Amino acid sequence: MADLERLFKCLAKGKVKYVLVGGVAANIHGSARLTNDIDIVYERSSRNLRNLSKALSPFNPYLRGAPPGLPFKFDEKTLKAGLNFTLTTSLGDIDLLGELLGIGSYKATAKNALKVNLFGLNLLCIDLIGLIRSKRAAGRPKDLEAIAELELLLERRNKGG
Amino acid sequence: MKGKKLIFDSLPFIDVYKGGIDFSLCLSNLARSVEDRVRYLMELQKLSAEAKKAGEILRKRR
Repeated sequence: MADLERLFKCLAKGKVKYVLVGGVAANIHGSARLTNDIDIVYERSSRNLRNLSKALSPFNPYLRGAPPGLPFKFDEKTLKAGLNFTLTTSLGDIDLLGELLGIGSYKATAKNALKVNLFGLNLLCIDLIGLIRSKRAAGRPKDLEAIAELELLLERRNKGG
Repeated sequence: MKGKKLIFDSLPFIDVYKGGIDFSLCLSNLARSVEDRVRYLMELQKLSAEAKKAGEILRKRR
């Protein structure tokens, strides 16, 4: 369970550049599927890595599913050395993606992202087409039903609904 | 939420799932504001977490 409001406010306060993707983005586009984590594509400049690590550090980020006690330090250096991180935090599970399959980096993801007003903040959220493209590219069997739902939402939108 | 029109190539293994989607749930969600969609999702997450907890307690009792 993610405290989305607190998480978004914390990222905004820390001036973190990111695009909201995944299940929460799907929900924003009308999906009725339950998702328990939050996925973001983050920009990989040194400044943003620093901002991201500072913003999330108070919430004890740790590698999701890893045994406790590993020498994992969530900082700019770690973020720079890796790309995609699946983390657990005290605000909920969060996936930090340096690249999104089928789309690319933050820059490519942000290009067609929509500005969404949420909790008094302006967030970038991947558009429906990008979301479908990324899920199709991921090719995970568990996403098939989600893709079908997103495509129905796109068909409805293209019909003017 | 208007965007560019783009029709993806139809993939039969995706299309087969479309008949099983309860789209009325999506329509209900679309009737909410964007913020209310996210708030509703958070409520569902709470419910899911509670159900998981209840299941764990039940399994321990057995």
